[in-house]
Amino acid sequence: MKHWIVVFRHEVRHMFVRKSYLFITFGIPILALLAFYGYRLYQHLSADEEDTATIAEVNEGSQAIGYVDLTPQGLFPAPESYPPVKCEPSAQELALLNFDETMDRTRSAVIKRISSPYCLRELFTHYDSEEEGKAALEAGDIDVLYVIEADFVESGEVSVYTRGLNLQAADTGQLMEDYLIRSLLVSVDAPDYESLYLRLRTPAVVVDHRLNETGAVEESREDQEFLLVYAFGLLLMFSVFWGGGYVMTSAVAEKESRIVEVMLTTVRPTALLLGKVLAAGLLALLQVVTLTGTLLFIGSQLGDVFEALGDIEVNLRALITLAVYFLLGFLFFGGLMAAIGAMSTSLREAQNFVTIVTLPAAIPFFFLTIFTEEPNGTLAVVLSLIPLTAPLAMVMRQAVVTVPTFQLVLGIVLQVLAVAGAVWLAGRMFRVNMLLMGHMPKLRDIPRLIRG
Amino acid sequence: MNASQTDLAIAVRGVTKKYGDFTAVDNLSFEVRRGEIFAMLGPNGAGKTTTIRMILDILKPDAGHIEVLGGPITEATKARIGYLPEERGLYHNVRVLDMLVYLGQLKGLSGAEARARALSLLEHVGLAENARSKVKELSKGMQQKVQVIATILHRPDLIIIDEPFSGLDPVNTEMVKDLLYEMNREGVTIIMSTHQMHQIEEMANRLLMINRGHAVLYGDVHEVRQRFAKNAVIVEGEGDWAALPGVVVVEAGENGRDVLLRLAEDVTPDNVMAALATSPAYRIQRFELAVPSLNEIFIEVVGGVRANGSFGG
Repeated sequence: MKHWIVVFRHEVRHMFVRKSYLFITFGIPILALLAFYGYRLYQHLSADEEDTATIAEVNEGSQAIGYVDLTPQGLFPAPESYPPVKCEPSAQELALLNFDETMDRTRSAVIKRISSPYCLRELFTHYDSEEEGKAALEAGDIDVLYVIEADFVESGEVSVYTRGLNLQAADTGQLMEDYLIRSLLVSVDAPDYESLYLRLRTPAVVVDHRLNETGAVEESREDQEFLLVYAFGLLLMFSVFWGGGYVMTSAVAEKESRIVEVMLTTVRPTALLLGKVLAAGLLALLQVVTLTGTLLFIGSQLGDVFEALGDIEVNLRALITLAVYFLLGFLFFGGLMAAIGAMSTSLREAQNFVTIVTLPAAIPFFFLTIFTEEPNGTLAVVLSLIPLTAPLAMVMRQAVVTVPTFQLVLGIVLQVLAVAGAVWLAGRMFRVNMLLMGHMPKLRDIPRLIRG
Repeated sequence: MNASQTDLAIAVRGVTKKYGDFTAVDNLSFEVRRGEIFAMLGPNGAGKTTTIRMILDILKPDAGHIEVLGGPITEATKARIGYLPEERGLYHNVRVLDMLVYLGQLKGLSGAEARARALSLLEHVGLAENARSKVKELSKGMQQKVQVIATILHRPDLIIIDEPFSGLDPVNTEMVKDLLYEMNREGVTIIMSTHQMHQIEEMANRLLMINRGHAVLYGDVHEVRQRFAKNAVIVEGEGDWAALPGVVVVEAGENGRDVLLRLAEDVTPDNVMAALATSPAYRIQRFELAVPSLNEIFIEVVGGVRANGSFGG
């Protein structure tokens, strides 16, 4: 059997059963799932009924908001002065509210009913004068006081008064806007109410369009692209650095346990290293899969939180690039980490040198915005060709644009050469490190040691 | 060279290794014959470990060449060698049996074969019950025995051991010694590097003494001792030793019972024995040639070099 396969199998078996590995790989996902479902159960037990309708949620707000209407027309009378209505939607109505495909006369009527200013009578208190309102604020009867100025129709001006630090007062601006809209729309007929009310609450949904190189218009999906770049980058970095960490620990263990001299009379350093790096890669990948899988599963269960991710498309080319660069990046950083491990006398000492590799490798993260906005710009292209930054940079670019084939091929060729160099370097360090038992080499000695 | 190429386990020819300005091994040549127990000795820093590392292809010589088991060392050759370095090491967090199986597989054994052989050897050295223990749970002596097992597990043709008995108590020393004798009887060549001269006298067929990277003594252990033998005899008994014909100096032995009789240049021990046999004035309980121990030879050779100049590694 090939030596690297024997090393690979041994390392997988040995590293897999380590308590720290098992805890991170399986323990954390299990704990996260337990916490998630525990919280769900708690929510289920503590909530009498689930109400997902936004209007109904606003109606049940917990703040105490006072207001004074100074408009000469008296546009905003006290909420309790409106005709009483049933503010809570029935289960049937709630289902209707959540169905938002088409405008519907019945739904519009339900929305008009439950968004009546009357339904906010628990939340809003009308005061006849500014003095009266301020006295109530000082007495602590209300969290915040809004004064609708006399020229509101012309200027839209509303003054707000708070007293000291009051968290309840912090998010009342939108509630006040909602109350104003409801009051102003009270005379609108039911059939038009839904579109008018909902449009005024969310006046514009901006959709970006970007002209590509050929002048054709393509839909801009910057938020999703940013998220995709970020997710791909994180996935690669976590797995590469975790795996690299395992390789380094394993390399240091060879030296700390003083078995390296026996190993080197049995197996070539490159075969030993290859087995270790691939084993660490496999285990790191498994770790990434369980952790991100758990995160995505919990996210999918939360539904609305991950709604924005729903239409993200990951193309096949990006996935293949991720796989290729995952492997090449792993071998490259694994080789460098192993070289650091081979040079160090202890794990603690090795950890001091890890940043020499990890910091440059993470550089593309510092330019995340550039990668999102100009993925084919000079900086992004250069970073995606330099072997130290390429694994992250190329994957981030490919996530949002189609990288020109020439650049992709050149990047992979350079990365393969860098992998060969890193593995060779680590192999040399393995070979010479036994001459350095007990001390780190001086920087100036390293080239001579590498030459052997 | 005395032996033909096929009889040689190792042939080192004119090998030199330098570290910067320091010459660790200087134009060294020697041979190890197949099936013999060969000892390498020398003071600390003499170049023994560097020589062993060059034989094992861990280090490349700057000059000269080395043949191992009939040719330049290859990966296939390495699988036929068992090596136990002075810097002993084992994976501490791994179970004894798992580690031995791993090392056996790296040396070309199948998993089942390595397991069966490891269990048999662990049984042989009294560690069968520790097969599932982690290495770090074993005592130092136990770890030493596991290291010896790891060295011979794959039935090598050549065993190289640096200080084979360090850290072992007398009982375990005998056990390991028996194991090595057994391997040697099966035709395995053994090279041991040690400071324990009495072990060399007892076990080795031939020796190489290195000092400052040079071979200072090389050959059959018995012949080397004879070469350093003084023209003297050791006797124990009664009589006027100074009155014997041909005796020029009489030195009392350290134990107070025997005496060393230094003889005139033209007198042989046989002449003295004949004189003692024919004279009723002497009663003899012991008569032997005054052959120095390897320890004395070591001190004489190395001490002589030190006296003649500065002593380096």
